[in-house]
Amino acid sequence: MQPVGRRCARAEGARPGQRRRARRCLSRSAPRQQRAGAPVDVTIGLTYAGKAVDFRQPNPRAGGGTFTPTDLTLFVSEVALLADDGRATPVDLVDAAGAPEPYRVHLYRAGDAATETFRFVAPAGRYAGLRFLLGLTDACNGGEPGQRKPPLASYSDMTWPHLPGLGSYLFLRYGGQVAGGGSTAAVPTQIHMGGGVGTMPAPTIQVRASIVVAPDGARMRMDAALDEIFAGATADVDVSRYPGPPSPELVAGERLRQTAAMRHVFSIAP
Amino acid sequence: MRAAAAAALALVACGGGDGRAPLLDTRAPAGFVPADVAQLAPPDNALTEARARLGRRLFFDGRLSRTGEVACASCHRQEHAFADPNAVSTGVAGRVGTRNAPALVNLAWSRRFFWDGRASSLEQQAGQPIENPLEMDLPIADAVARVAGDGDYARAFAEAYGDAPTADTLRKALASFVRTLVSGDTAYDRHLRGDATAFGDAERRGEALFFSPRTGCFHCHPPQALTNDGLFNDGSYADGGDPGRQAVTGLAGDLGRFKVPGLRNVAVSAPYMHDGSVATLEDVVDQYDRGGRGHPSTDPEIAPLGLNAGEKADLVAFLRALTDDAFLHDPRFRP
Repeated sequence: MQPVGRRCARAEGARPGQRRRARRCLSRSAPRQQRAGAPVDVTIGLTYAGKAVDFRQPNPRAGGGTFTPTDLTLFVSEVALLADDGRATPVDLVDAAGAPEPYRVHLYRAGDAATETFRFVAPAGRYAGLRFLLGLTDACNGGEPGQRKPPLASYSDMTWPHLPGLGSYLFLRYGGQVAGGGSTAAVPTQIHMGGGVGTMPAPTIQVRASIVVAPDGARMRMDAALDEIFAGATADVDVSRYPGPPSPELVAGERLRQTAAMRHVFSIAP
Repeated sequence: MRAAAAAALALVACGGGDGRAPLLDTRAPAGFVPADVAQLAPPDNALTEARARLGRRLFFDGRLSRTGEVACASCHRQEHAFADPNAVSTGVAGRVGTRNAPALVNLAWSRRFFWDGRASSLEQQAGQPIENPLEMDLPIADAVARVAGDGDYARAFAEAYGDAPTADTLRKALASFVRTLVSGDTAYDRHLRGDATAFGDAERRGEALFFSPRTGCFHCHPPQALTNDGLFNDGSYADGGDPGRQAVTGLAGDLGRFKVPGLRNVAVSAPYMHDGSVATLEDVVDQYDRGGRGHPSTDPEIAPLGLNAGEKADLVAFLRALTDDAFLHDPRFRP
């Protein structure tokens, strides 16, 4: 069982008096949302045990043997820069050309260079961290993928049919193979993390780091630690109230959803 | 005389001057996004009637092969949803290919082409079978020379692209025709649009099973689109054989990965899998029920399902409900 501590205050993404108001899942940002600022590029890299991972290649795993990640796909949304005192400056996700990303959502797909960097515009200044949803808002997690365009279209690989209590989308999907070595219990081969509209929100991730946005922008690398993802997906947490079917990949996903915000899944290189 | 000329012009404007109904209807079927197929064409190859007609002519023309005997349509047959009823296709001089010719259905929505996904546009895809020694075995420059020497083609290229034929415009024209091959009037589509009579009990049970976490079919074949256009190893062979996507990327994790095909008209596009090794829909369901054939790089999503005979039959019933008879017999898609 993961320790319950003050970090849980941000585990579900809402504190008293600071609940996000429900909003529509807009395919375009409303004009008031298109904030001025400098472009900030965040490139996601994968690590395991502190070392860069070769995607779709065998990598040594703890305890012997190898694992070969073949799929890591996830949504990033509701991005904000954090000040020292915790105040958040929401930022708009934009594409490489500077146009708002549809639905204010970025779909990251490991191995697809076109998606490995997400960009937003931010006021110049010094910040103490980055916050984002590892997944989608309730507004976006509902609705029909077949009626939406990318990255929320039905062929994004991240949809699942409506099931009671669950939304339309996966928030994170991992797939891989393991070979050799001893026990593979700590390295799942599948993780399908989703949520429930109004009941099981996407985890809010806060990454503490010194971030300087210059007037002409900034670039940074954010590592996603697969060992932390695996640990979250195999954590001993209560999943008895999970409304979905008890498939191993879904249960692993629910374990990760409950613990991701408390783990150090993401880190920003200095 | 003026009235006759005006009428002729109107006919040209409407149907290309050959008296046929227009080929191009850019309205996507209800529920498809976007609603206008033309939006899916790249900026440098806007979808027009003239381009689609030219592409149709090329598609059925055996002169695009070295021996003059093999056209695109030789292996992509409309009654089979523009797939080949043989496991692998036969090209010029009886040469046998290595992969099953896939159905050409709704490719306007795709973002990768060929079983190994090596082409990222229809325009990139179109010229490769022409030059493939196992298929049409004709350098693209020679194909261009052949059509350039034909007055009718010269006029058609001028109308479509404003110039004499080039390798680029030849590929673009073929791509334009393939973009018009849109299927969206299956029983499943009518069911999605609210027609309570479209499905019987077996189809409904099959649909529910298909889109359930128990089978997980929807992970690769999501609702409505019926393909996520992804590349996966579905365990359709045991070992060795075609490396699939790995031949393109060189990555170990891509061994045996192939593009997920769309399932509209799947009942008429047998045999199945990248090598045409699975003969019937019943065999497909059996293979997935067994969890594949044991390839070491099989995607972890593929696992034994524990289906009973009735469930298998229901899945097959659902797959058969993905047939669009109007598409299979649409005269616009014939030469």
